[in-house]
Amino acid sequence: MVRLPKAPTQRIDREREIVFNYKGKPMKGLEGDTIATALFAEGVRIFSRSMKYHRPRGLYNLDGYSSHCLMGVDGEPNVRACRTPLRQGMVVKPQNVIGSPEWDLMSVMQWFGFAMPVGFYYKVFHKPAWLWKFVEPVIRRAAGFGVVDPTMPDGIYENRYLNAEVCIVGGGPAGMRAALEAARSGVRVILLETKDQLGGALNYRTVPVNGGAPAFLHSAQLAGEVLACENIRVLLSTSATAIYQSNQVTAVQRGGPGDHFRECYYEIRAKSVVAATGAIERPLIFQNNDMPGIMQGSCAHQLANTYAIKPGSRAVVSGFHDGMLEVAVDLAELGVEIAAVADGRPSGFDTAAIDRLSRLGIPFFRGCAVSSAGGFRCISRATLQPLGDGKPLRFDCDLLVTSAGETPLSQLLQVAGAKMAYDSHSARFLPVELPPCIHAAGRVMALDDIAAIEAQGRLAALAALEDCGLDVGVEMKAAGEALEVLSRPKPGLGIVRTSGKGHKRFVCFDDDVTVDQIADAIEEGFDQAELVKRYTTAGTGPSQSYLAGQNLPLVVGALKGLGPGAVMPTTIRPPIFPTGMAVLGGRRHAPVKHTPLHDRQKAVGGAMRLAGVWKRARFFENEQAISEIENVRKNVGFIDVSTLGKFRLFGPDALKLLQRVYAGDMSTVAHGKLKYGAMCNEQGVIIDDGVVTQMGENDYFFTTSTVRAANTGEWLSFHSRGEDWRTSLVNLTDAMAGINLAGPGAREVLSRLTGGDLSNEAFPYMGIRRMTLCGEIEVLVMRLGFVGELCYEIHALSSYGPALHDAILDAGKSFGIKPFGLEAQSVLRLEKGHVIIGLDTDNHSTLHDIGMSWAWDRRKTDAKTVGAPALRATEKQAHRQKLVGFKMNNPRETPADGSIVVAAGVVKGRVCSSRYSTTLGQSIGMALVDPELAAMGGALEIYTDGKLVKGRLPAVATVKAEIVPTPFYDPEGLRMKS
Amino acid sequence: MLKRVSPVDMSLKAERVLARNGWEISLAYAAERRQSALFLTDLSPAPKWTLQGQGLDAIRPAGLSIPEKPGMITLERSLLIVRLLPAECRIMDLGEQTPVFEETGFTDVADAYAAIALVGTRCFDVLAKLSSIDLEGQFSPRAALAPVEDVTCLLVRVEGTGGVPGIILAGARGYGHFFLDALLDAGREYSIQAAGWERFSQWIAGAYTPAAG
Repeated sequence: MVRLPKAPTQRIDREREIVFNYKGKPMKGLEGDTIATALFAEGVRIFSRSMKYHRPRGLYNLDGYSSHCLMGVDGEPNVRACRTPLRQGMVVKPQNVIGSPEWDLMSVMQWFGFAMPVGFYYKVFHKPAWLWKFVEPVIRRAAGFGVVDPTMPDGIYENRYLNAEVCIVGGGPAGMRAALEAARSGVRVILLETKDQLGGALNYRTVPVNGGAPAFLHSAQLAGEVLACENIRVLLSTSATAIYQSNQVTAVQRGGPGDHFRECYYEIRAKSVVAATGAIERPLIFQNNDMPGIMQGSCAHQLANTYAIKPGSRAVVSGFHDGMLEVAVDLAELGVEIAAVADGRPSGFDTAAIDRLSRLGIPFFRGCAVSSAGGFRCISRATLQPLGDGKPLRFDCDLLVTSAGETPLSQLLQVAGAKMAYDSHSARFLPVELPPCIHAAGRVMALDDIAAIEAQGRLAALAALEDCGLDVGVEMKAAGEALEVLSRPKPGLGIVRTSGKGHKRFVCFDDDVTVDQIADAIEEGFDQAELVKRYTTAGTGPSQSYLAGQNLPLVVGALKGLGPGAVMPTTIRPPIFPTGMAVLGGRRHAPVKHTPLHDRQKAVGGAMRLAGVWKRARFFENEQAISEIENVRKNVGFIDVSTLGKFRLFGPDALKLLQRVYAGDMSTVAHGKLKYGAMCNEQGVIIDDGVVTQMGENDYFFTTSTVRAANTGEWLSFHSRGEDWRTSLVNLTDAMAGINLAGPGAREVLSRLTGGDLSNEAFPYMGIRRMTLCGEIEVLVMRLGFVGELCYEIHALSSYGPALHDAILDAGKSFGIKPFGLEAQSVLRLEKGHVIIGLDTDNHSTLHDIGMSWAWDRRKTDAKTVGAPALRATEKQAHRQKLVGFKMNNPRETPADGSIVVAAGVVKGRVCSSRYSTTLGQSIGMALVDPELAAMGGALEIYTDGKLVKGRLPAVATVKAEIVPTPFYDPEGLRMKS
Repeated sequence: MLKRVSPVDMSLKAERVLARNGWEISLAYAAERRQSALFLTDLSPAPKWTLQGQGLDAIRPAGLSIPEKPGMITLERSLLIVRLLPAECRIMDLGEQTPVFEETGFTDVADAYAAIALVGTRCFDVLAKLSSIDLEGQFSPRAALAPVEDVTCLLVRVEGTGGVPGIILAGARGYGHFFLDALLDAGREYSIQAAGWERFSQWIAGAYTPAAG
């Protein structure tokens, strides 16, 4: 198609041709085109097929509010071709058709409309019952829009958090004026505009503003001022999706050629929000109102004035507001033959526009509207009919421009909590009560005079500044007075349905919902707008509330014989604009902690796995870690224990706090010695353990388990609330690297690194010493025995961790030292009968239940020890589960952790941890079982995962075990204490 | 001599290094010959302390006063003092004076935190991708504890030489690699670059309050 001659409103670059692919064929567009305008210019008139009846659909709206132009673009389904900029090499495909939009095999569905009455999926194909299972997949396959292409290239999706004093949604004249006014005071302003250009509808309008410059020039001037303003951050191609509590505005931006992301999701915190979201045209409802060739006034206007495309050769224009007269004049001046202009209003027209129509010789019909359209696939005729009585007039045409007035885009205000009411003057549902610190301006408030729109934008900005604490009372008063003298909204018609009849009068284009179907729904008892919406699915498609939204309550009201406004629009929920899942996910980086030894452990073969917030070496050689276990038992190994919680607690009342949170008596903690401590919660359930030592007067150091490290500060703080204790707690977990050197050769290895006396007498079990290793590294060394061997737990400054690792590896080389991981540690400590809290306990396990009553000192009543009352209460309870050790009757059979313990088919407990012990040549484990099963020597029956037997997997298998005393290994503790 | 290792591994060739307290501090990287307006520097080797206790207002670490209210900072003679709570402040030595604090209330936490300086006018744009905290506004706090991709960090806003803004981030050492990856990723759009301590020092020098007298 040859484009219209150059004009200043146009935004295409005729010198830059863009080649793209549509339906497998190359096509051309121009820089500045959207996909839809390029296709239209190339002669494409049928863009898609409707979901239910597969009726042909053409270009209807160019602002992204219609589902007519949904297409697959570069593998992404449901792209709105009308607002997606054309790019070189794009591959565009029609969707939801078998064949092409022009020749769609599924169009036969139109002839089966009788089989698809309203709510048909609730009614038909259900009887006989067996039929549904065949029909359902067929319906599901036929329904829906687009297909996700799993090979679609990945893109960058980002999340950003912005902060501003004022956030303005909408970059039209109201929004731009508001932004400039707010920015004058120096505050930070964010301006969101859904299109890729500021200006809104002014950009394609030529009418003079206040008798001065034409609208598009006025818009360009305002936009220039906004873009030049340093404290206004303009986000184009950005659609606000909601306003949440505390003025959190969310929005999605589509990346352009200069952006490095495909889409970006914003969370904007603003002290005040101005919604200048504008309005869109309300669809006019008549027979065949969905045919290709029928479009909204703004669509035809933009095609002509923005994209230099003639929307048709011979047009009929039918509307209820002055904007349509403006469109008719502009189209006529650009060479479109206007067969007729009809306006449903009896009076109140823009007289200047009527004069221009008259001068152009265009027939004008007042009180008239289109009642039907006809043609094969695309429109070829339209019938006009008076809204009262009168004869129909038929016109041949290939373009029908229609509109039933304007619908404010109040969705954002509604999700923010604005109350709506029907304004009978403007015949629109308008926001009447706005939430605090949210303001509205412009066409969303039914204003149509540009000067008034800008004046209201200014007033809204001043109100926003007042929300920010600025004193703008005088300016607000003046701005309010200025707005008062400007023109009020023009009266509108509360009619969206014209006088024609027929079964194809669509209220919702997305789901092919007609006036007749809504009438049927009401007849069946679904007589409220919300019920009609759910039963008919009107307004639940991709266009959501935009096109069907305000028409639905007006139609429901009219069908019920009620006046306009008697039925209110349905609830709006966020996101108010379709938002992809990918952009909500963003490109979050997973926060995982590395220990100071991470790289070293990895370098020597560590299989790093997630363990809470950390990555830790699970094993080094193989998953069973047998050689690692054997090396610790027979030789020497070391494990990274940097993840243990480490804390300094000091202050005059530090001991009081220790006494409060530990079950044991911490007053006996001495210099140079360690004391095991268990922490319980208020129910006496063990939640943590570690060792405590005293480093100085009122100065303690204690360790916690890895998982509790992050909660310890809060726990101590909570349990000292209300006390006037003077204590300070410093979390040193990350400050210190920890290595546990374990095995019979541990002393020899350590002695290579220090000149200190490591003899059992000088440094006994449960002792702690400060040492210097390698002559440089200051360390704390603890004699512990978690894995049941001679152990030295060495803690050094984290930055020295790698050096310490290397030094230990080097010192132990001649002893055959090897690193060991969590799997080996788990087996070693199990052999020793040491408990892992959370694995061998649950949220009912008290110290008594796991055989650790000794860790509770009942004498320190003054301390109000956390959990002590519960420990006292549960001490003699006979029904409590007990932790027992067991060995399997079949030594090679190992139940999985968590396997159920049963007796006579009744669940009696669970296996906490179980492994095959190479040291003992026997599968062993610990289980929490009911007391009647806990007797020494008793038998346990354990359900475990079945094994494949001749290719079949039995549901469960039962294995047997015997309860035995723990520790399984070195019960006297001679090895760790030697 | 054994080397101390930072949790922030730039994986870059240093042109000049400075040995201090067991650290090898990269003063400049070879890649820095073409300087980007946005850069980050690893401050993990900087000595750091936490000071806790009652009556902090009466304490003058290295002769400096502790800011009066939480969220306020003192930046003088290369010492950054951040008041976190009524009974806690953090101190970081951004220069070379390495003072010694022996009073009970001080704890050396140099190795507890990874610290990174993010400097340049686009630093707030980078931070906007990772945190919802507002440090940019006229009335915003100078320092705050806030989540950076869900990890709580201390964030300090500083205006250095030439009024160029920057953010000093300090968070648990174990997340050091994560902070670096996240900042580099977020800053790629703005050509972020790793810089050595020299460039950071030139910038921070403009932020110091001249010592009284």
